[in-house]
Amino acid sequence: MRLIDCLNGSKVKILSIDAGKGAELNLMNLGLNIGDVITVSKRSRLRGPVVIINKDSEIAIGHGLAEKILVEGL
Amino acid sequence: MQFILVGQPNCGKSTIFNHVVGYKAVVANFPGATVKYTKGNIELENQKIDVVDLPGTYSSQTTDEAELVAINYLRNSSNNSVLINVIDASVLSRSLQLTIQLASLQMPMVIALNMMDEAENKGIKIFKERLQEIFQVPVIETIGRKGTGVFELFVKAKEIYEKKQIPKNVKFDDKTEELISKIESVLENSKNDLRWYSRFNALKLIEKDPLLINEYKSIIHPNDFKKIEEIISSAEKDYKKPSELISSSARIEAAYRIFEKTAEVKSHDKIDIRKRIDDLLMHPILGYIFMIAILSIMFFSIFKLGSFVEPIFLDSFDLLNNYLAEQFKDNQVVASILIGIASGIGGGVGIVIPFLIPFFIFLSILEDTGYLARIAFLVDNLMHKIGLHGLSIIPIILGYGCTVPGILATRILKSKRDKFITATLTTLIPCTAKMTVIFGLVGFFISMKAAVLIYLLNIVIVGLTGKFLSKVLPEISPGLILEIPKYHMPSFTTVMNKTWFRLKEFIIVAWPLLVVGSIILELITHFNWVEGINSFIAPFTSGLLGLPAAVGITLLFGIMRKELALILLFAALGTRDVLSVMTLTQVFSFTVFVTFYVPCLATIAALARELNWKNALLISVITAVIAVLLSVGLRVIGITF
Repeated sequence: MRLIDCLNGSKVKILSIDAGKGAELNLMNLGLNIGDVITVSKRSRLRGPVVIINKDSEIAIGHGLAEKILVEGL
Repeated sequence: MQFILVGQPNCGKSTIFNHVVGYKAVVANFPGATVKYTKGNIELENQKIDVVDLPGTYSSQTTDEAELVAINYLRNSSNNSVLINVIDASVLSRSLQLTIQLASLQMPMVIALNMMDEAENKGIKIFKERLQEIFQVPVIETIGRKGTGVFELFVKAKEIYEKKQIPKNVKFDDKTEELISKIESVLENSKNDLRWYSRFNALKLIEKDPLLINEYKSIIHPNDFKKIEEIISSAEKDYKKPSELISSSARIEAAYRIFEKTAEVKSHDKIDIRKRIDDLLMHPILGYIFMIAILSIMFFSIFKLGSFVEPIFLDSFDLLNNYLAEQFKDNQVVASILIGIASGIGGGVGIVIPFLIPFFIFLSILEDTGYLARIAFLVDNLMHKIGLHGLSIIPIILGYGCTVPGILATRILKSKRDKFITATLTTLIPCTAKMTVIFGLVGFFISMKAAVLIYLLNIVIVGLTGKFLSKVLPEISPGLILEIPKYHMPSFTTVMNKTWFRLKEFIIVAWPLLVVGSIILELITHFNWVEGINSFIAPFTSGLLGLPAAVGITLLFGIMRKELALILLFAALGTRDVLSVMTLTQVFSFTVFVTFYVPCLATIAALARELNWKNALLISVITAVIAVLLSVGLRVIGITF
């Protein structure tokens, strides 16, 4: 399942980030790693970004990028 | 001695910096880069100490220019420095990533555990003794906003510097450690003059650090370099991921391990009011309504306040001009120059005090509360439609105040192309100077509705221009990755300091050009060159745009200062009753032209500084073309109806 398809409030585990080294490194610098369990906290309409909560911080991820992050529900 | 404050964005580093250095700080440029840092000095125990505030950086494994130069500054800091690593205690695990990297630099260091109050609110208890034990350097709890612990922090930093106490390296998982030591042993056996420690170098080699890789290539013997490359490429196969991500992944795990050892998280039942507010402000529908309301209130009150105060300043400078003309009536040239200087300064004061200061104060509050990041979130999808992403909204909003700080703010964008497009759009935004023209002409002579119409037309044109440029310069935008900071109560000193820094940019870049422009203008009037200039450009002004030839000079001088277009128009037409010599269409089309055409001199200078001269010129041409097309279009519509 893609991150973009997750419902608000759902807890998911990141399986892969298939968006190139740069984007993956950017996410990692914000503390997001493959295998992390995150909570989807906000979604927006009309191809807007998704906000996730990871450990202790909130990160907004653009729609295009969120399409390339594969997750599994817990 | 030098104290270097280093930490992740939003960790409260600058608040600590402002607390000790305050308004005396100066903004400095990194050599050869447009990224800026602030520095200042303090006196501690009778010793003068330089304090440097580096731009916030998430990691020493860099992804943008600001991070790159910040880290480079650290690497090249001589051994007279001590690092003050500021950590946001409420996001400890993420912050520790940078701490781990800084430790590998093996420079004297202290850790400031900042925002302890935030952490407590979140139910996080941190055992600083354990953190101290892991890194072997002092950890001091601070609340930068209140100044708590800041003095102790600086005293400790000085002590650590004198003791040359360096932090202990944090070990990663066994597999990654094995990889690091393999490379370390190649480095240690090879004859080289590498700076820094082998662990740091090994990590940077694994990360293929864009800043250092060439340096390594030239220093390390080719055979050894090849050996290292082989080790790395076999590790990539083993890990099944690019080597750049091997160490970052190991680092996140190590940081989380430390977090678990040093912190306890208690879930608290207290209903967080900030979460409630956030749910409203970022609501998929209500969020936009709140955003529009907040921005409208902001702009409306700035406009109201400004137009109330502005005449007071303009009138006093008018009196000064009359006085100067009277005093120097024997020497008209001197009088012209002095009047030029006075009206240049007066024009600046007339914009700065009534409009810019309130605007920057509002903006700093929006920024410090954390709302600006939420605006970026809300408009992200909209900005994608014009090929940009949410962050581009920040320079554009700034542009409504003054284009110069707007252009300078494009440095928050990572890609060169995003910077170029955003700078072009920011240039098109009506700044406060253009606002006085719009409301003084269209608002006064036609109607307020028509003035608002120009703003709406502007938004449409900005959108279309963005769309066009993103088609011409196709590039897959990396997409938004943005930390949503917690809501904070903005601190008075930080807001004032930020306002002052932005004002300084206006004063340094824009103001001198205002004065020069005004002097030239006075001289041209004095030597009676106006007629000549007007008839020279008449084919353009009357022929193409269908405006009275007399407005030629105003357009030319509008380039120096946008609001001059309005003041000069009355002088050029010889009457304040504009409608007796211009039709409604002409007034409208003149205003639209002034709103869009070539940016003012100060903006061009800012564009050249932030991008380069070629792009500054290109952007000027683009805006001029847009202005001509619009005015001709309006003329055609005017004739048809």
